[in-house]
Amino acid sequence: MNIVWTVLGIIGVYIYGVFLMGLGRKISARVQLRYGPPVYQNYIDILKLWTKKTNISHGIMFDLGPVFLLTGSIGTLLLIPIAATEQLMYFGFSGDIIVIMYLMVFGSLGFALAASQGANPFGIMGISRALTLLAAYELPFILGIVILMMDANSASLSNIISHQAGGYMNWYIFKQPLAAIPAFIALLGMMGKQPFDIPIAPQEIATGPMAEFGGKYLGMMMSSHAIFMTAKYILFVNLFLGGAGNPINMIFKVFLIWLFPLFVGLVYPRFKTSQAVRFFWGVPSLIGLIGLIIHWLR
Amino acid sequence: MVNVLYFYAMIMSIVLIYIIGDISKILRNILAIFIFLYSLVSTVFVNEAGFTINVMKSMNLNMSFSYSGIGTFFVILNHIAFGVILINILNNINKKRDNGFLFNIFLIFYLTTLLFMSSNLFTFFIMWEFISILIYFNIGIFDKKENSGLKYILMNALGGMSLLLAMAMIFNFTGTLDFERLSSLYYLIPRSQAIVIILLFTFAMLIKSAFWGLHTWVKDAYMRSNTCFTAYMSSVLSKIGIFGLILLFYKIFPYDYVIQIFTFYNIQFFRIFFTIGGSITAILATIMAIKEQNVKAILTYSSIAQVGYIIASFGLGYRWSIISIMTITTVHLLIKTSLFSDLSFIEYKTGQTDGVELGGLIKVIPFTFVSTLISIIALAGIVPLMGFAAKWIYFENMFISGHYIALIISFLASTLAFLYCYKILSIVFLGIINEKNSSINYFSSLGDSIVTIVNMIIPIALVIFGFYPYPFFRFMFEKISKILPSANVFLSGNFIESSIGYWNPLNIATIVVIIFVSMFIIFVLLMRKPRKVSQYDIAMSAEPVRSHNNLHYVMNFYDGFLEVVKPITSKSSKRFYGKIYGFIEDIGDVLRKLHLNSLTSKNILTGIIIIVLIIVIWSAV
Repeated sequence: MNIVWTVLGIIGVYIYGVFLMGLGRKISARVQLRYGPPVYQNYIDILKLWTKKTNISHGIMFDLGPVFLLTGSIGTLLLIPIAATEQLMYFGFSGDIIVIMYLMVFGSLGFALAASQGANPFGIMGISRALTLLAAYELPFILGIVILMMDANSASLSNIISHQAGGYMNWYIFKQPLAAIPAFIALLGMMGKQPFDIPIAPQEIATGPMAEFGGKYLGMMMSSHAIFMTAKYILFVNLFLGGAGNPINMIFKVFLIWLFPLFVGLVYPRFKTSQAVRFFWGVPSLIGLIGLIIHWLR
Repeated sequence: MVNVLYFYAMIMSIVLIYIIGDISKILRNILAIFIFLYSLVSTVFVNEAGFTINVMKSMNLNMSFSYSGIGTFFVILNHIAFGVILINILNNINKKRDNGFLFNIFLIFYLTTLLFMSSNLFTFFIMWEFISILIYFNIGIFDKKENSGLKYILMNALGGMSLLLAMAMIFNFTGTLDFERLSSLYYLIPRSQAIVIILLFTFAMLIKSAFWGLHTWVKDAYMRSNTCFTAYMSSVLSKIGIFGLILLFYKIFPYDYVIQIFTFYNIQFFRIFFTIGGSITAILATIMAIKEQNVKAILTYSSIAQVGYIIASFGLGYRWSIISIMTITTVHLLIKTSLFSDLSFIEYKTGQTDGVELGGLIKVIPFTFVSTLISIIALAGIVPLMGFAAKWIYFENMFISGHYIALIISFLASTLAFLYCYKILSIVFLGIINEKNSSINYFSSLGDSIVTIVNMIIPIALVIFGFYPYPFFRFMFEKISKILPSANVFLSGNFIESSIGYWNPLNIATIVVIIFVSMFIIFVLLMRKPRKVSQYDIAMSAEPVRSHNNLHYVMNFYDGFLEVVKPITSKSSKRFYGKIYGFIEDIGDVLRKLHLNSLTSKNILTGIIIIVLIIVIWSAV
């Protein structure tokens, strides 16, 4: 029965993730005074890519890249409780946030290797930018996480969630704003939307890592992105918005957080790589550091 | 078995390797493998009491060796690393003059084994010095300018002198250098003297371990050596310093006592020094690794960074320090043995370690790619390989012990490590293959096949112990049981736990494998098969790509990042030491001028003496 719920959970997150991607395109278009594609356009795109006759491969790592990527995305999702119901707390896992953070890299590394085997310099350039961005936003993110760990005196995600029980004022977004601010700014980098869409930068490096991918490869990558993106939002809901008692609650909270990078991206133009690193290691990290010191002194 | 016979038999056999090498290469190789197996069986599989060799009876100085506890663990690691490296060496060396190299490295291996078995400080020191001199000779073989060897020997001589001084002070107060007796006699050393001894001893060990600031010898020594020797230096010899620190804090002085005597105004300076110092070593070395484009240089700095984590672990507290030190040491030793061995094979095949000349080698040496890939994933600490277990123990306990700043620095260093990990794979194995390398014959000899198989052993172990690390931890706990009797509480069933969290490696690995296999079946086997294209068939602004187009992306790999960290990377320890040297020279200049036999200098000197006298008399009155 657990397996059935697990598969249903993954499919649910996938469908919701693709929906958000489509909705994002629509909202962006409306803000830019365009009509935009229909909300369901991404479902059609993925279906089209999966069924495409022509697929081009550059070698074994190129083939395995999307498999790594999807494994990392689904694996991450399975370690994050979707809702506080028995069925959606997969594997009864109440382990460690550090495990989740390191599993999140699994898929990205595989994808990076695939892009490298594509032999397109734009792809490698994009990956080098993506990894630089990862190093940049990881600092404010880990500062936020450490403050939460200090408050809950635990690295367990379920313990961090249970510390936020008893009303929304107990959510860490309100209880620990000096942890939430750097972490939410780091979220902008994690999502890779403007102003931090440096790795793909279509006008500069021809979509970077994706340059060589088409057909089923691109379809898999879009699917993985949908799951991974939603998993990260779910993680943030668990960390800062007190988790969710049921799936509906989670859908709503994820939607709220999802709007944040979307709207920021619509307003700001793209940073340069060095500007992005300076930005993340600047004010957000400083806020996190102040939060850490204040919490420490308490 | 470990006895006097082993002591003499090994020396004789190693000399025999050198002599036979001149007669027959095959005989030499067989003998080398036989001697290694003899050492393996003697020291690893047979558990026997140690032995003593009298050196200076009148002064009660003996070279004494025992085979138990933590030293055993290091002996085993030494054999694992050397076994793999030896096969690579035997395949790589062809010329008669290489016999000297083989003789040298074998002798270093043997002395390192004895060092890990030493049961008194005198033995430890003698072995330490012999090893240092032999390393100098080895580096000298390959570095004709002899700068790197000189740099190495000067720094290590400084360490050796500190160690000797510390040893003399310990002997002066306790009358013994035996570890077992010292652990109950340490209280005879006055507190202030104990502080000096610990500082001197630590200084010596930190030079050997390449603590940041004392690492100036490392890059040249690693870069100019034969890559197989670099493998041994990075994996095993860098751990001699770590072993020495374990002896100091766990055998000579009790860990808690050291913390106590270095506590001033309720601040535990000992723990702060190690956690912050180790973390800074890790992050600075990582940044330097990102900057490099020669794979050997990247791995050199990576090695310093990993040792930084080990050094930082000394500040975690009595219980967790030793668990973290031993786990990271093991993982690092395995990973660096594997990576450098792979690199030596690449160098053997292509004649290059510079990323600019490599690229696309996955096509010609695929199994070496797999081996490197697994080791790199473990190095990056990505779940579910063994590297993660070491990282988890380190981070959790950094948090528990309250070293939040060191935790943040270490975490950032760990994240930055992804950058150079990816860079290695990308510039060596992926992308466009260099035309010169496209005709490489992977298995041109039997030796190549054997090396490829042997180089896969450690990566396979990293996967197995990543999925199922329990036998490793139980074995480790057994070996450190004298220091830490209750270490096994850290394992609870299949869970690895700390006071703030836990995880189940088997559970996580199972999830990853199931998903990976399912996705593989769906994506690779069930979906439409792709069409293979040539490496130049890529999308590049609608322009046809030819082999003369430079598509190998190596230069300015992380230029955006390097621009930000330029204030750090532009600084150099050499320049820092140069400034100190210049300052001392300036003082010397002043003194020299004062000693000049001129009227002016005499007047100045007289004036200074009068002023000092006036001040002294005035203050006395």
